[in-house]
Amino acid sequence: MELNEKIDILADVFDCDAGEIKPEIRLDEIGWDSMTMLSVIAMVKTRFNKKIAGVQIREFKTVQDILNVME
Amino acid sequence: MKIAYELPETILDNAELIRLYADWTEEKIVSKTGVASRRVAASDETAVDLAERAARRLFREQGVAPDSLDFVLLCTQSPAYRLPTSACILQDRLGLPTTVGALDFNLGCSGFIYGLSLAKGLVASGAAKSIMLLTAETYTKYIAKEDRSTRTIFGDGAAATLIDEAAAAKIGAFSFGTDGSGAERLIVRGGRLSMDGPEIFNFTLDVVPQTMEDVLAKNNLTHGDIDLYVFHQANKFMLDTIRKANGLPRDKFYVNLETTGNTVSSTIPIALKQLEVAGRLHPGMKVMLMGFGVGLSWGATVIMV
Repeated sequence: MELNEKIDILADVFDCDAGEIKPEIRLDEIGWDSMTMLSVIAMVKTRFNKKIAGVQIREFKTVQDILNVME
Repeated sequence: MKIAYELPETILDNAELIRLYADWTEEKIVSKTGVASRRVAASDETAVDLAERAARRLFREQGVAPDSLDFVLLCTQSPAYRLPTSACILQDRLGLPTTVGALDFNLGCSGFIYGLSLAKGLVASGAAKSIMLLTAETYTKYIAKEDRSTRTIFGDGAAATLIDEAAAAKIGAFSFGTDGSGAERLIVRGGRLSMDGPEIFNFTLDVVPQTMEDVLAKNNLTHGDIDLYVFHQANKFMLDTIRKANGLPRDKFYVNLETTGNTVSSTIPIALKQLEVAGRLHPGMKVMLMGFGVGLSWGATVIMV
């Protein structure tokens, strides 16, 4: 999947414009809370059939950390 | 199956929550959790009080005579006292005959399913003929004011369900599951509730599909035979994800936590009552029930309306 496609998916998850999603952006700048964490887990599970553990997702700091598991 | 439920008087709505959690909006809370408002027990109101009210409503509205009961099962994780057993207190408060059997059992989100299985077993063994299954929780007493992820979801409430011989005959085979290695995922320690939301979510996405298949096989049914899916109302986002991930049709999959929140073991009986009131339950319908959560514990069955 191309980077711009992944960015579009993340814009949907974070409910913001794709232009605001950049790999180096810190997650807490675009709204990183319990609800968006679950959205990311659900998205990665349903779109990429991968499981992100609770301890793992709490270590995520930037958009790049999410992009790394969108493979 | 005759059901009645009761909620505490005090309403906690999203307008009040966003005053505490400034970066959330009312719309965001309702769109993600499905909860617009939830009920919170008063400081002097216990799960036993709520269970008593639900039982009295069952007697009043469904014409159940207290002296027709011969067993009371109370599912709660917020009992009035460590001892005695809350179900014993309810025998006296409700004026039930002293010949009734009464016991508490400690389960959360899966509790209604396990209660149905215990009631069915009591009927099948001939030990009892008319069982009142009570589910009652006041989780909000365990939740810290600043814990916004659980405070938005959980609400207090109680339900009373009558399982007599006719109702027991309409309860199908069960599928159960337990994984105590996940005990820490949802736990009350030092009086405070802590929930690992992401891990509970992962657990649910794992166990729901296999439990659905297992309970269908045990009842010799396929998805095509199921008229309604009534699962534990954990939160709207989780239910939507479960529905989509398993390809279940929206019109057969009940979601309603808008004015109750997640009332733990009472979400399934409350949903069944809401469906009955809405005229959506018809004789002969097959309804799959599933509970999953704290324990970790899960269970499912299929009932016939």
